[in-house]
Amino acid sequence: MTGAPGRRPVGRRSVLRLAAGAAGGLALGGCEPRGLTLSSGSTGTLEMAFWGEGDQNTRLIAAINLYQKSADGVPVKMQYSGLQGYYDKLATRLAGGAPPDIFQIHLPYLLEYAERGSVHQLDQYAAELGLPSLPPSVSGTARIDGHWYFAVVGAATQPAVVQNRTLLARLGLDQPDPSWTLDGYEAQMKRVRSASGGKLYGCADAGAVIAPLDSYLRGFGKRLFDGHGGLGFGPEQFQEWLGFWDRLRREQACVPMEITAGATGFQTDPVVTRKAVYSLTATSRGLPSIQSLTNDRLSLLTFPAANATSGPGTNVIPAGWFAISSKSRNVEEAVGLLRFLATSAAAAKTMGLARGVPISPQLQAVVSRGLDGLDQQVFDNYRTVTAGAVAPLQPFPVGAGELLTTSLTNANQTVGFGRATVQQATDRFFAEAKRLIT
Amino acid sequence: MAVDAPVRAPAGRSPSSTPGHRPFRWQNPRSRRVAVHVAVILLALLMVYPLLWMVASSFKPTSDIFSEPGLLPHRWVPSNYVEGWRGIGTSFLVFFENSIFLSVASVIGNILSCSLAAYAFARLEFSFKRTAFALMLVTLMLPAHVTLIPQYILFNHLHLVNTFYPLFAPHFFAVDAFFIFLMVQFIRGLPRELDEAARLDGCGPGRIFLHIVFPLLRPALVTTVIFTFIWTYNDFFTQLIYLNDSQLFTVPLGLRLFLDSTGESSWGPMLAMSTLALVPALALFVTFQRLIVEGIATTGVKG
Repeated sequence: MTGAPGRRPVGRRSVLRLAAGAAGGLALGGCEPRGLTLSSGSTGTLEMAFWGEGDQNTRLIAAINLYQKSADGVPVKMQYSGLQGYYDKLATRLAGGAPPDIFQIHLPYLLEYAERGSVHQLDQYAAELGLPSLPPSVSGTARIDGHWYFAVVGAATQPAVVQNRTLLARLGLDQPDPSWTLDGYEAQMKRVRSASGGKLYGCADAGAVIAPLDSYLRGFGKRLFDGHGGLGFGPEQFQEWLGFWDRLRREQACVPMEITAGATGFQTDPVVTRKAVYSLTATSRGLPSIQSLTNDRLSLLTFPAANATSGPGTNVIPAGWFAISSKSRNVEEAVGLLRFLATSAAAAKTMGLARGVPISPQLQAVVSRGLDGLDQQVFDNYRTVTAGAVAPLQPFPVGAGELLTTSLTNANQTVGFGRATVQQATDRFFAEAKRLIT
Repeated sequence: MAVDAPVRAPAGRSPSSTPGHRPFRWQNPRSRRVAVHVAVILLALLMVYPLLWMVASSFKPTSDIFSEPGLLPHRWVPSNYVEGWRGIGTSFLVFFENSIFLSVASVIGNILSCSLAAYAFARLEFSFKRTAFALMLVTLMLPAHVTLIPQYILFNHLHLVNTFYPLFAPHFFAVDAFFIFLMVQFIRGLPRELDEAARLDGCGPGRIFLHIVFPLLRPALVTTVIFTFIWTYNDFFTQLIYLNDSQLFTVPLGLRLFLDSTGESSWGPMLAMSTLALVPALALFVTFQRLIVEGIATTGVKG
């Protein structure tokens, strides 16, 4: 065990002792006692939880710092991360009795959190938060059962079509007309396939993406949900939707299901991996995200209308909702911070389009100065869409999250992999909707 | 199988056995060894490819990582490391310090508490020992999500949320049944004659543990050190739940700050910091690898 004396002048044990000493020293002695003082909830200090990527968070942090320095400002503890795990943590904190004063939330959870009493009613603060002046297209999501619950900072258009201009130019194809319909969309995708000699697909498969389906239905005056625990559309519309994407796959105008099923985010989007010329993102804010992952030149298009007589295919969605916890002891201060973020020109200027295009025209004028190329496209796209008729958004009922992620994906995939007909997938989807939505 | 086939073929029909012919090259042990080595190296390269991809991509601009084929960067961007180290609001050094503090504290806690608990279960006689042991094993099968909310409420009442205590303090109370079980198995394999000899020399249970059992537990302790360190260092969920301030974030939480599935992600800096994040765990594993195998092999928990 001990080894012959002198056999190992610098033995493993010495190295280990040194390494352990260094690690222990760094960990236990070398740094301040961070994280070892007991926490205490203090009145007057706000806790605000939000998610976002680097630039979104950096700009929101900068705006909150401005607020803290303002005359009405109070200290804010900012708790930020990416979206992964955000709702697990938020749900645990709410259940554990330690929610943040303000938290970010999005569409699938609005109704659920309002109905279970987790968010503070904002009726008496509605005017100062600018809620009554929200356009009808988004106000329905901030107001539940006649009461205001959520503040809105900015909005974006949804869904957005991202176009690879570099590949399109290489194929010698023209850009489609912005007032295109789904028929025109299909024809353009087939042109891409044909012009590339079968090397490129036209577009990504959006059969299971919520925003395009929502927009498609709104074009016919339908909604995803009827507001009474059921779906707001019939099997025939859903069959047409699934059938449209099935036809595109068969014509090789959109990517095969193998590619769609393997895609995990913007980084594996067919436009980034150069397998397709067009892709769909949930909102126009996806353009800078996809552009950062490729050297090709991308641009933004509106989603096609269902047909020549239907409503516009692209609508508007808030880029984020903020709620005040019903257990907050700092409601006045929380309202003050949200008012600053939603209505102050200084905040709008600091955040730019990181949290969407500001809804008020005055703030839009503030952010419109000095936008770079991509942000300018996002801004112009928003202006174009809001200039026309925009169908109203609705909050999702409880259970909609699972239906629109798991069940919708299953429906599109079973058809795409040839495991079910469009009819069978539709029947299964409607059966699951009956079980899941309450 | 295909490689051996010519060797096993009947002598008269095998080209290698025909007089005057050169022996088939697979019969040469050296050639066979080279072929096996080449195959193993290729297999190893295949397995290590994701790691190589990560390291190579950490030097690429974000716009090239997913759109340009090939492993080697066309443009080398070491600034990913600078940007990543600078972090988003908080330097990555802070995340490393926090992770290493938590990992070291958890290791110390597990070593002390699990070895004492294991010694009690393996050598001492006390009331309800079997029941306590069974209950301990049951906790192995209890999903962490079941106890998440009650634990959170408990720590919240103690004002310990958003501190490191919920993450390392439980380890000082022998909560890791896996390591207790591992050490119990190991202690059961130690000759009882050693305890008896120590008892004859006047040692009580405490000194037997300190002077006899604990030093002989070394392989199991090393296994505990490695796995506790790696599991704590890699833990995402518990740290996500209990830590709110970015100054308290650990490496896994810090890495997530670079990514957002709904927005623009900083893949280059994230991969650069992921590469650096591998270093402590890898160094620990490489240093202790012989003892890990020994520990697993002698505790009877190998598969």
